[in-house]
Amino acid sequence: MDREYIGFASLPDQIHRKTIKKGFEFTLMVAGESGLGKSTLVNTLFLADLYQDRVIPPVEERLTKTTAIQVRTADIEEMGIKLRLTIVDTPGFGDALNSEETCQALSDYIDVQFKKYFQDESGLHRKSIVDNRVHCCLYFIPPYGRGLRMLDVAAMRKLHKKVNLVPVIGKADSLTTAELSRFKSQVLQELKQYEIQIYQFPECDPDEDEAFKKQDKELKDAVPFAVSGSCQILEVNGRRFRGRIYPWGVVEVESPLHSDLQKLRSMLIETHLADLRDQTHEIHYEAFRSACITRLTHNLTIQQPHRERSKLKRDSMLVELPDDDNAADLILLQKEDEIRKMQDLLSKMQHQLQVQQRSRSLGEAQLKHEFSLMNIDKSQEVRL
Amino acid sequence: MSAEGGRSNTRFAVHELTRQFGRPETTNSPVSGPVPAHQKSLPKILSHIAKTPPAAAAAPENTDNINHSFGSVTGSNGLVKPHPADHADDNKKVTKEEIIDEKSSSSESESDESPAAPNPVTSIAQIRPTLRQPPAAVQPSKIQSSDYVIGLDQLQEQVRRLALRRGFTLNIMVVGRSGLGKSTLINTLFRSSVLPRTCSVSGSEPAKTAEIRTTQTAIHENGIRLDLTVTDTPGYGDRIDNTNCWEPALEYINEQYEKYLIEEQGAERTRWIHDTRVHCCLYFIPPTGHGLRPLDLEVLQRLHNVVNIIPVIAKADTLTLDERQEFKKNIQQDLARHRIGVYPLAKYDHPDDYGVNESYRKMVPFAVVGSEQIHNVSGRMVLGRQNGWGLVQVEDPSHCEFHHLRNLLIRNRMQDLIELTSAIHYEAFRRRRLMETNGMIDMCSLNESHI
Repeated sequence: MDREYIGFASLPDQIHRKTIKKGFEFTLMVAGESGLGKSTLVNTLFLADLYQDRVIPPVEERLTKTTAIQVRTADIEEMGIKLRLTIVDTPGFGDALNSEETCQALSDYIDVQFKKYFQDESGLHRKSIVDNRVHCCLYFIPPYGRGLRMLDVAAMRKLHKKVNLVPVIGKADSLTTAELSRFKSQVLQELKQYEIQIYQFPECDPDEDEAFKKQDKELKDAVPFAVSGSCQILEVNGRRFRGRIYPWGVVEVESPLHSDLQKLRSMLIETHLADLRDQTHEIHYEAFRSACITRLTHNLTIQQPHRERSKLKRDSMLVELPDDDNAADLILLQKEDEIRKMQDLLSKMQHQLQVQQRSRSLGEAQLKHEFSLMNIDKSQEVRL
Repeated sequence: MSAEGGRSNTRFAVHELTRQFGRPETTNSPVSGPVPAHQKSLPKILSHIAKTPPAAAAAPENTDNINHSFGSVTGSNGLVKPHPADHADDNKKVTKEEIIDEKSSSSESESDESPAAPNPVTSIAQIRPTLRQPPAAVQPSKIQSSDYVIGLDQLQEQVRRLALRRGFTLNIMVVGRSGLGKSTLINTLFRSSVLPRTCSVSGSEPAKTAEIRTTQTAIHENGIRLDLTVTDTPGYGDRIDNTNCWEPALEYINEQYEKYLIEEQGAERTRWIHDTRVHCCLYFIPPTGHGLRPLDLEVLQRLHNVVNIIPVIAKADTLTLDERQEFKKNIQQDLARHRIGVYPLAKYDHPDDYGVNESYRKMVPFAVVGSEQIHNVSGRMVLGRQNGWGLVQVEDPSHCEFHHLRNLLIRNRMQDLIELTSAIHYEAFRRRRLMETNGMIDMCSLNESHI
């Protein structure tokens, strides 16, 4: 009976090992006009050539083509940890003369992914759910201009309640330092003016040390990130780095002085990947789900779920939070209930059809009346 | 290059307009100094005439000097030129008297080579024929035909002086999305604040409808006046639905043609119609690096038959040199495939200009950077943009092609642009309108029929 320790201190290690074996999934959407350096940035962020088979169609075809969504997957591994990366691209965004339907296409894609996940979750075999929901959307703002354009505002407003929106200034090496700071403040002001909710970083844990807090603050101040990407490795004075070479100078894309690429990379991958996924699952997906269900059940009140976000810690890197089993069980029961009820409805409707076929003498109006009565009955039953 | 660079620092060389007026491009005579020099040379000629009677032998080197100081003469025979009849009459009198005086004094020292009569008494009578009568009337045996010139070379001089007095007019239109640096480029080209800087206006709503905004300024340089009209298209391409965003620009161009046509057809018209026709349209392409956008294609297809277009890559400091080459190649292919004719068009080339125009055609679209900020580079004051990693110099040809655009637009081809607008685009418009309306023009029917 001499137990000095129970042994659950090794739980984090077990989770760690399990998640490493499982690997991580991350879906990133890049949205913005063509020619803003989106594909280059993605390649630079993940140090992989994801766009090698890309073909840019000639200009006359782009005029009438509708916006198509292109999905690319890549399996990236670093130090034994596997990441299944999915990039959702929108070629032709803003190309057509009339771009109204482009914004809609983006939003529809996100909804389709949510719906698929919803159906999978409600299904009977849930072991192999593939999570293709969009975890983060990088929206590229062109650096030429005086802030957000109307197209940007419209697109962001369609997306901000469905996905974690991170605004990014593409090709930012064309702006001087003064112009850049002015542009950033202009963009932030307009985001506030149009009430666009961009992804907010969680608050820093007050226990952390000063250096970390300072780093976190710098990160928050840098939004929107002004990036320029490059996959070309240059060598200057014996030093090798990724950069862009101009006749008047050389830009080091990974240096924090020249571009915010490093900040974006650390934000996206090192520190906030888990938070992005959790936000997607617990805020955006839940909002979609409740909207879906209320449409089925005509419920009047919709509550925005509030999530207790864990404070940011220095060592909160890529740690998977354990699933809450009790809540899952409850949801499972509810779902089974719903499925049973829907099956009942289905059988009733089939019965009704047979009745209709057998006794044609009954007037149509009467049939419809019976049907509507049944509908009311149904809804009364389903309402929990 | 450096000397020219130094000169270009201080002025944009409107005075070279007169050079464009005066003679064709390929004349091999050296460029004269700035304009006022030739005016100074007039008194010199008088003294030349006084000192050297119309003699062939002694004259050549002197008259060569005169040629040089005029800077423009072709076809003159190397003799002292008597003043053409159009010059002020009082000059003639002075000339004659001087000549008579000098002749009388130098007649004894005249050698036999002198074709003029050595007799001072008869010199007046003999001078008169040279001033008034065409060479054909003179008996060839007594006086050589090379003595007598009509004075046609003075015509160039007259044209130039008239033009100087009248001043020059240039109407440019700038078309492009907002934020591409259109105003900055115009201000940099003409070295003055022609257009107000729109980026400093904060919180301004983008224009709901695409509209036209015209700014007029007068620019002076070395006594030459240029009336510059810049037409801007705010709101172009800024909306979500950009169909028909080119309509305001197109309507404006046609309206200017129409106005000119009505004035031209009027019963009482002024001697010199005020020219508001758009001479040149600078089309700004954003530096995406891929190629033309569908919107660009649509607009260029509609505009290239109506106005001279010069496409320009805006904010070209976004692209590295390799990307710039790739981008240009794609755009040139797109333009060729859709048969869009940008200035300079090969079919309107003067044979002498072909070489230079070919080099321009290879460079189109021009990758430009504009800036109104001056920086100090090892003592020199240059225009440029300062980044954390370098200074982009606007006028350095190795950085961007602003230099070439300015040469094309102002120094070399401004007159050509104006002439093409008048002779080709306006005439095409006029033909179409007159045929449509059977010779009766009124403004109401203008916008019903487009292209």
